Amino acid sequence: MSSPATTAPTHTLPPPDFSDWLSPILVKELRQGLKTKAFISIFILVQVVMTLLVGMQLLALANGASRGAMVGFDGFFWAFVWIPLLVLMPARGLMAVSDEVKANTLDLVQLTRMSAFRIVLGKWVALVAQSLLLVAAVLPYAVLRYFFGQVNVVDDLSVIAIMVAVSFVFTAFTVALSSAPMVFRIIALVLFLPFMFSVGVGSLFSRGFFFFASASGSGPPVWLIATMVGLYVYLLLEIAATRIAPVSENHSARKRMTALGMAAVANVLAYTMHEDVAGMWFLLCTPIWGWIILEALCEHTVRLPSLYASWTRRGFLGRMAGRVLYPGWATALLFTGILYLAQFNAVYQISVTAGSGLTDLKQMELIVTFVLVYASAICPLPVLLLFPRVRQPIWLYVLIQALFGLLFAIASIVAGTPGVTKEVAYRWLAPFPSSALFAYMEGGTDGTPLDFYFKVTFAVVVILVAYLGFRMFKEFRAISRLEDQSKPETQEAAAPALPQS
Amino acid sequence: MDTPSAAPPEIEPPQAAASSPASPAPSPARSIAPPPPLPATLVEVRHLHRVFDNVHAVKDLNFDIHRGQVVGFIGANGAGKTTTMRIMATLDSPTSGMVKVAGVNVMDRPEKVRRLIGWMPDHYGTYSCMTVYEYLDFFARAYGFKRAERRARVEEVMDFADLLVLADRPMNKLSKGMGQRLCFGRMLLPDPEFMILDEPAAGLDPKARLEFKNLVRLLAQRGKTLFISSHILSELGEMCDTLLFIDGGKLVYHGAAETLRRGAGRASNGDSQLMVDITVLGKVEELHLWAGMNPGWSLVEQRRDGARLAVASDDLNLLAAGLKKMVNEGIPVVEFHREVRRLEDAFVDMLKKQ
Repeated sequence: MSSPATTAPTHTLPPPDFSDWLSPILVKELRQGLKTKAFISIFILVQVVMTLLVGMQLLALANGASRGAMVGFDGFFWAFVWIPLLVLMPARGLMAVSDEVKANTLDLVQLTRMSAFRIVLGKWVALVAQSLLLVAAVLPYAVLRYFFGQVNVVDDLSVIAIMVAVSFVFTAFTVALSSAPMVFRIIALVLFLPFMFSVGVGSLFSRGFFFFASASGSGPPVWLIATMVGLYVYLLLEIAATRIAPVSENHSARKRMTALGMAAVANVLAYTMHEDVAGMWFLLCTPIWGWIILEALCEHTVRLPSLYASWTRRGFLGRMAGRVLYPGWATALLFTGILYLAQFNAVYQISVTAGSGLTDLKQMELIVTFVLVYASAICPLPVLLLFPRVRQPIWLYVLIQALFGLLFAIASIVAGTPGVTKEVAYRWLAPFPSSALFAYMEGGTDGTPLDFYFKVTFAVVVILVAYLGFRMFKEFRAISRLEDQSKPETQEAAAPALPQS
Repeated sequence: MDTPSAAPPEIEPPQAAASSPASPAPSPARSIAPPPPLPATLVEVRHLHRVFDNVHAVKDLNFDIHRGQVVGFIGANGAGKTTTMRIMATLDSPTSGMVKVAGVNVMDRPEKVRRLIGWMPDHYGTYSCMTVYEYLDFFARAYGFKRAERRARVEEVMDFADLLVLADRPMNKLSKGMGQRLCFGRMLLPDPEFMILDEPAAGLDPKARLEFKNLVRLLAQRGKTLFISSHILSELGEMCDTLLFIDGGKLVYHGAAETLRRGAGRASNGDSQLMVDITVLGKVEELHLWAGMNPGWSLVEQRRDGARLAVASDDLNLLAAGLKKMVNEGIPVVEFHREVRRLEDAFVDMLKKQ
């Protein structure tokens, strides 16, 4: 054992490689990723296949083959672009977080100054950087096909651009999945793999659909697609970060602010843009909103005063904002209500723009729908509150909603029997908001929202909201105490100052 | 025996604590008032409980760790050592109770605590396709070191942990001892004030154990506070100022190793006593009689060629006087041995008494 004071280092260290401005986790992932057999194999395979394919295609064309005879070559060419981009490279994300957890290395990384989000972001960036390397390797062949293969290079590049964008989202999805328990990963993968393949194949046949549709003004604008790709990637990475972050990191606030921001944009678009654009925005935002609401309603209140300090410092307004943004089901009740109000306003405005005004009946239906949607979202909460120690409340929430779905399915079967009307079959669903919503969406009340069916449903909704409101205010009192404890003077009295190092 | 809640003897906080081997040179003295002395207690653990489903892994732990101490944390497998250490390292949450490091609650402000601690887990994970240097460079980046400073830091730590010769070796091809040195080096990168080491010497060969002990000694000399767990008592007894014994999630002893050795040798009434092993040339019966007739001496165990006797005092002068009297009275003593109890025996005796 040598002491540095007595022995000078005699071994030289490797020369510096990656720059300092790159995230440490990105550097680490690139150092590892670029050396893995998986990446090297995929890279070499793509190169070999591309060389053969394009070479054969060019030879055939040189021998007088027509462009129409090249469809088979095109199919192989694109298959060897989308399989690595949309399947193989994103699939590497499936082990991104789980490998670290299994190898007992995540703890060590988390003890450094890196936040959970920076860790997953670094992993995602490293994977997409490797995907982009593959794309860069394919580009010369696309250019060769343009010069010698009589193909439209703009068409080719637009398809590659779409594939890259989809690959970004798929990779974020697999990184998010890698933070989930094994059972969940398997289920999600079984459901998702066919989707991955269908998107890959679909992008082949829709060749540049989005690009040309946008150029002609008849499809979603490029900025909307780009923004959505960014939002989906962000949300998926936030999901992964939430799972590995310590409870003292408030990820709820970020996600909820994102959801509210998206609702605000929906309103702005509804007032200022064509209803198709606003509608498309709303439609694409819906899964994000749904997931954020689901996570928010299934959260427990965090009993750590430090978590409330940054909001308490902002005074009264900070505390009020905290009532919507702190983690926990109680604040989620308010958050969900505000989000649905914003969504309602956007949908109302889109409907007005599209239909040049709404009839009273349509307005009433819209109100009824949103009230039922809100009630459906919060109705599992009383059951969740009965089991505060459940580790995965999201599963319990989903189970309760599935039971409501089952009730509706039974009612549908009953409604299908001769001599039974939907009105009669669905009547007993009235006390269950989610089942009632399904029935309403299916048209079981003949479009008359204020009949007996809805009187019962609304009575249940009022009782539900009153009960949860009562529990919410009790929870808010506990949050107020935590806010008081989080004040700097309280903290200083409780703990001596940190030593100067 | 010391009670679990009893505070260990006060120690002086390190005056002008020397910088760690890898820490940057101290800045020149400035004409400002010296900072106030740091509080002696670095870590406070109060009423700590941790329950996993139906397993109560940690039960009402209370202890303090003072600055500059090397503390051994001992217990059988499953006693709750790792759980306690993970909570102290901000990696787990207690069911109830509190841990403070330098006055900061580990649950409340983990990010502040993390700047003060180094953590060496019992099983450190390896990364594939990564060399020893790349591993340390990654963590140095993650701790915020930049450019030349990072390189110098990594080099110093590698030199201190004797890793320079392994710089280009893939980290998943290291032996257990090399791997532990690498993990130790990683822990030193941010120059932590308080280091938590979970079973650091487990699985090491004798040479690697010796090297590890030397590393611990070097850090202790530089005023660092170390909290080391093990289920091998002898190796901790030599390194640590203070020992904490945990059994079934409960703290059963908190004090110095020497105190434990002596404490465990107390008579049933709680008085101090020494154990001696005497071999005589014939006249065994006379020795047994002598022990029965002389006040302060008692026969513990008869043997064919001698006896094991207890002296009701830990005063070595009284022991010497007793032996002299024994020889003067014609007992043919050919061999005398004062028993120094092994920590393992002391621990087992203590558990029996519990």
